Parts: sequence; structure tokens; C-alpha cells
Amino acid sequence: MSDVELTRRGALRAALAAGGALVLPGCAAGGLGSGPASGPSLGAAAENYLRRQGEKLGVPSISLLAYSAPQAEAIHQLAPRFTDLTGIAVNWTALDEQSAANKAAVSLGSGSASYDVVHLTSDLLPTYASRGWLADLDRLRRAGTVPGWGTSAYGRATTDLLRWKDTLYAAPMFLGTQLFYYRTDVFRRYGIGTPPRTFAELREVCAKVHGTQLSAIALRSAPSPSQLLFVWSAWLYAFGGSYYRRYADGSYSGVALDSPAAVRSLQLYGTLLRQYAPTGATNWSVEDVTRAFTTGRVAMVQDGAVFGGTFNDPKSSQVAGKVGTFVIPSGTAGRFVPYNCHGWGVARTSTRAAAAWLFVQWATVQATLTAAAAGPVGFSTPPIATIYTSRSYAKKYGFDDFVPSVTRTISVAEDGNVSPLRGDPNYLPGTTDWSTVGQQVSEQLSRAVTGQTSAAAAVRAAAAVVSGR
Amino acid sequence: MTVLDRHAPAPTRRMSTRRRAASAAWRRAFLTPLLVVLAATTVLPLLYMLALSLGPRQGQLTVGAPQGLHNYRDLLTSTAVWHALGLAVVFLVGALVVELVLGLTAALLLDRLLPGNPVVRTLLLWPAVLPPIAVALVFKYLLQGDVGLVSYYLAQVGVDQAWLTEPVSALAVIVAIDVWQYTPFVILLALTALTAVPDEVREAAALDGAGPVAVARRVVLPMIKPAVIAIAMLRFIDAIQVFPTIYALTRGGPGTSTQLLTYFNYQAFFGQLQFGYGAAIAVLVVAFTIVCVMLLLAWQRRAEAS
Repeated sequence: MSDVELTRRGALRAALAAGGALVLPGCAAGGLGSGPASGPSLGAAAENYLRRQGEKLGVPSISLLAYSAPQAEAIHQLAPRFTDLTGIAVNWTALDEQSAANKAAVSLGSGSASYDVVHLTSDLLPTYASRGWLADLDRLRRAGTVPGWGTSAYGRATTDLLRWKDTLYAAPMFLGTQLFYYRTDVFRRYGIGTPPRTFAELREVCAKVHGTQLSAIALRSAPSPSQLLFVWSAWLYAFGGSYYRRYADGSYSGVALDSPAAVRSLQLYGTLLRQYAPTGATNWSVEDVTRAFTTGRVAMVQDGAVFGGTFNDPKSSQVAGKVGTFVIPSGTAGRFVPYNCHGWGVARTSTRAAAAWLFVQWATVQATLTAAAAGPVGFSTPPIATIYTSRSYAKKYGFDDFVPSVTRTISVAEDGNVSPLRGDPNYLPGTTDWSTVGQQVSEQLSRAVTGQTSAAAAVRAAAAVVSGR
Repeated sequence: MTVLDRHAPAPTRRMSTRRRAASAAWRRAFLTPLLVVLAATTVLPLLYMLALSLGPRQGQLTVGAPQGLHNYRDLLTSTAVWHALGLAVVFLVGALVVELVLGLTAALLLDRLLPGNPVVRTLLLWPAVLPPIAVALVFKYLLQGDVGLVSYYLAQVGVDQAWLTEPVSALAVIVAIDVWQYTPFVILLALTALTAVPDEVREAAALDGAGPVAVARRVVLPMIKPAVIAIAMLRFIDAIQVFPTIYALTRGGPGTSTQLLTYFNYQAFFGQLQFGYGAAIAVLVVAFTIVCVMLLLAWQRRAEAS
């Protein structure tokens, strides 16, 4: 999709929104204000600041590269309001996550400044920041911020993920955490009153509900840090395992992966997938897992909280109205949750960095994120905890116990249980070479999940990768 | 007159020299845009890749001062690269052998049964023009787990095979998709090659008592051998670049069992952002391709000479 088309579409949306606002002035809901372009009301101080800055900068447009995902699309739909306030058009390019990451790497790595704003995951941040690809947001902040915007709104567990060497390189726009979704009708049929609280109970439930018509469980298992490792690592930590022994001053030391805890957690993960998952589910990505759940082929999945809206939407799910949730079970070492976030970063070589920074603040301020979550896209995991207790959020996502499960999951993360290493804000190790190491680790562990090798041998090989042998 | 006669050829020689020079200038003028395009699209990227491979393993995409051959040293000492190269060889041998055997057999039959049929030729072309990513996605849904059409019906007759999650069957599927998509193309090229075989030769062999199989094996195939090697070369150059099928179906998994050289290259470059190392792998892919093509060309020359 070309930038021109997107700009046209944005203009069309702005025109339609403007028309809608004129015809139905009383219909704006969920924090949306009236005006030439529909969008969140940020308050007079913030909106006046944006107008003044827009005039002062005199930048006609900025370019942005985003993942084709609900969290970005929800902001995209509101972006005409930013243009309306500042006069800065946003040329939006949306691609699937892998293609966008590839394009961002080429653009940032070559210093071409094709994009002023890039969407990135916190896992990639150490790599991007260490290579000098991103602008220092702390420095941009010193020149002024939109009233109401501040890092304190997000919580330390979130902002620390987007810092590298104590410098902020991206503003949070999405919270990537996970919980278990289950079929309430299936649990009722088998007389399961309480969802599993421990991994031992999870295994029992899998054995109980698994059958020829319906498999018990599906989990991400494809060899990749964002697939197998992102899900399994919470199990590793809960069993008492870890990738490294120590974390201090942003550095990791001492390989700890070759442990009995790692073997036990991987054995359980592989066993559940081989015995209680659909055939072929030992090499599944997120798309396969979510499709299996929405088509009613599995009773349980552990996946992103962002899918809550989709799973319970009759337009996209055959199991809508029959979806329950529970927090990831505890192991012998406690309860841990997968946790990362996505952010908007500004390209260091951008010639329109101040305008890009203005957009980033507008897109990540509480009013915008609240409106985005309440919008039609189904963006259910904004990075600000207070949004989850808002009425608009409860109205849109208040099915079964979804909201309490998400808030409890966030509490687990805020309590530091994203990593077993004290003081480590990263769920997966935040090393600059993790994209390399994590990929190779996941390839080794995948062999055990598919049954090509034993869990002990896979863990040993993965530990050798971590230690650089 | 005598004087004139003596000097008569001189203007002709001068004109001829001038004409030759003009002709050469025109040739150069016509060739220049082509050379510029070739340099911009082939030589420059190759030089850029070489320069990148001599830079840092990670780092930037901008070319800096060369830092030595460390990426190549890492490449040669990495077991993962040799594993990926080995898988690529298994894929190439598997796909090319099956495609050539099936393609030539089918072409020999069609050449006898439906000679010059334009409908057959059109039908043979369409799988090859389908986008590989679309083909891969269709096969993904046909073979996926217990709900894919093929998997479902095979399971009904007792064949319960997790096609994409077992290392051997996942690689076999990648080979099979390539065979499905490109064997018709091989048939088409082989049919074209068979038009060069005169009917008189076949008739003479038949009069000598050779049956259809013997005619094909001992007369027709040796005559079209150089063309068959050219077809193999075309398929090799295309097949070494296999990527969309792996990307859509297995992402290199399970484990690394379908991480062929090109996918391994992609993983290093984009998945792990190791630009220098990724460029060195790309150089290896180019070198491997050139060596194989040179071997095939030498074989073709020998076949033509004999």
C-alpha cells in the first residue's frame, strides 16, 4: 500500500469524520470530542500546545512505519485529529510485523531517514539503540512536552523496557502480555469449576478435556524468540529456571539455562503440545494458535491479552460468548508473565524529529490511548494501567473475567515477576545480540518440542548458544 | 590511368575504415545503456554486498572502511552454514531430479500423443506463473494439522502424518511443492527441445527395429542432452532462490530442518540484523551458484561436442 494512498485514505477519513461531526454533533462518545476531525479531546492546554507547536514547526508532513496490528490501526484511525490540531499530515505505512521490522532495519541501518517515526517492540530496542538508530527522547523532552504527557503514566515495568543505558528511546503504545483463554462451555461440560492455578493442574485439565473432536490446548511453538520463547519463558521462570544467573547495571552474566528446572518446563511444554494439541501444532505461530481457538478447535490457549476483543467478537470468532480467561499458572518458583511493550521511536537521522516527537506524544497520551482502546478496532492492551479501570474499557471488554485477569497480569509484571533476576525489567534477556542468540536458542528448544531430541539435550544445546560456545 | 589505378583502392580502404569506426561507435552507443543498467542492477549491488561483508558483523548498512575477513572466517567455521548448504543441496538434487525425470517422460509422451497441441502448452504454463507465496499458502491449508484437506482425507484412511512439523516430511513438502509448480514448465521446455529432433531420425531407428522406449533412450535423449542440461541449469538458478515457500510454510522449522541456505541468509540478515555476516552468506550463495552453473555449462559443452 503506497503512502499516497494512505494519505488519501486519511484525508477521506478526516472528511468523513468532519461530516459525521457536523451531522451528529451529540454522538461523540468514549472521550471523542467534536471538531473538524473526530478524535480524542486532550484538554485545552494540550490542544493549544499542539496547535502552537504545529505552527512553529511549519512541517507539512511526517512519515511513519507501523505494524499492521490493532494497536497501530486504532491510532491510525484517530490520526486525522493530530493533523487537524497541528497541520502535520502523517504518511502512514502499515506492513505485517516481520516486513515492517525488515523495512525499519533497512531504513534506520542505512541512515536514509525514509521514516521519521517507527513502530518497534521492546525486544528490538537494545539492538536499535546500541546501533545509534533512534533519537534520544529524553533530549527531545527537554525542549518541552505536551501537557498531560509523562512517563509516570505508564508504570516503571513498561518504560524501563524502552530505555537503554538509562535513556528513553521510545514511547509506550502497547502492552504485550499474555494470559490463558479457555472455553467456558467445555469447562462446564467437564465439571471444571475453577481454572487451573498451577502447571500441575493445567496438565490435569488438558488430560480431562482432550478428545478427538476438540484438542485441549494450543501454544506458540515455531522456532523464533517471538513465538516459542515468548510463551515458554514464563514457564521456565515459574519452574525456577533462567537464561542467566545474574543481572547488574544492564548486563547479564553466568549462563543458567542448562538446569533441571529448564528441562522440566520444556518437557511439560512439549508433552502438552504432542499429546493434547491438534496434529501439527508443534510448529505453530501466533496466527495458527489464535485461528485454532476462534474456530473452536481447542479448549485453551495461552496468548496475547490483545486478542481478548477478537476472541469474544462474534464477527471474528465462532466461540464468542463462551470465552473465559485466567492468569498464567504458578510453578514451584512462583508466577511469571510474558511482558513486553511496543513503542513509537523517532529515527535519529530524521530531519523532522521535533514534529515526529510531537506526534509520538499525541499518540501516547492517556486521552488518545483511551479513545483508541474504546474504538472499533479492538485494541485491548494500552500501556496505561488506569485505562483498564475506565468505564469505556469495561463496556467494550468486560466479558467474563477478562478485565480482572488483565489487571492481575499487569500487577504480576509491576511486582517484578517478568524475570527471575532481581532488578531485570526484561522478560527475555535485553542483550544487544538477543535477536541472534534468541533465534538460535529457540531453534534448539524447538527440536525437543517436536520430539526430535530430548528436553535435556535441547536445553544443553541452547545453553551452549547462550554461553557463546 | 595507371596512376589512378594504383591509387584507386585507397579511398575505398579509407571509407571502409571510417565505416568500421562509425559502426563500432554506434555499437558502443547502443550497448552503453544496457551496460549502465547491468552495472546498476547487478555489478553495483554485488560490490555493495562484498563491501558490506568486509565490514562489521552487525553494525550499519552504510559501507565503511574494510575490517578484514572475519565474517568469512565465522562463516567457514560455522556448522549452521554447512547445515543450511547441505539442506539446500538435498532440496536441489531432490527437486531437480524428480522434475527432470517426470518432465522429460511426460514431454516424450506428449510429443508422440498430442504433438504441438497449443491447449496443452498453455495449461502447462500456468502453475509456473502462479506467485510462489500463493502456492505455499494453498499448500499450507491443504496440509495443515488435522483440518487441512489432504491431512484430513489421509487421516480417514489411517495415514496420520504431521506434514509440516516433522523434519523429514517438512523438507519433502518443500521439494514436492517445487516439483508440482515447475515440472510442467520443464515439460514445456522439453517439448520445445524435442521439436529439433527430425522425424526421419526416429523413423530410421524404428526401421532398424528399435521400440519407442529404445528410440527415446538411445536416439532422442542423446540428441537433446545439451538442451536438457540447459533446462536443468535454468531450474537450478531458480530453485536455489527458494524462499517464499519456506517463509509461508515452516519459517525454517521445525528446529532448523527446513532452513535452507537462502532462508538462513534471510534469518542472519533480517532476523538477527547481522548485516556483515548476512552479506558474507549472500556472497557464499552467489559463489555456490556460479560454481554450479560453470560445472553445468562445462557439461553442456561436452555434451554438444559429443
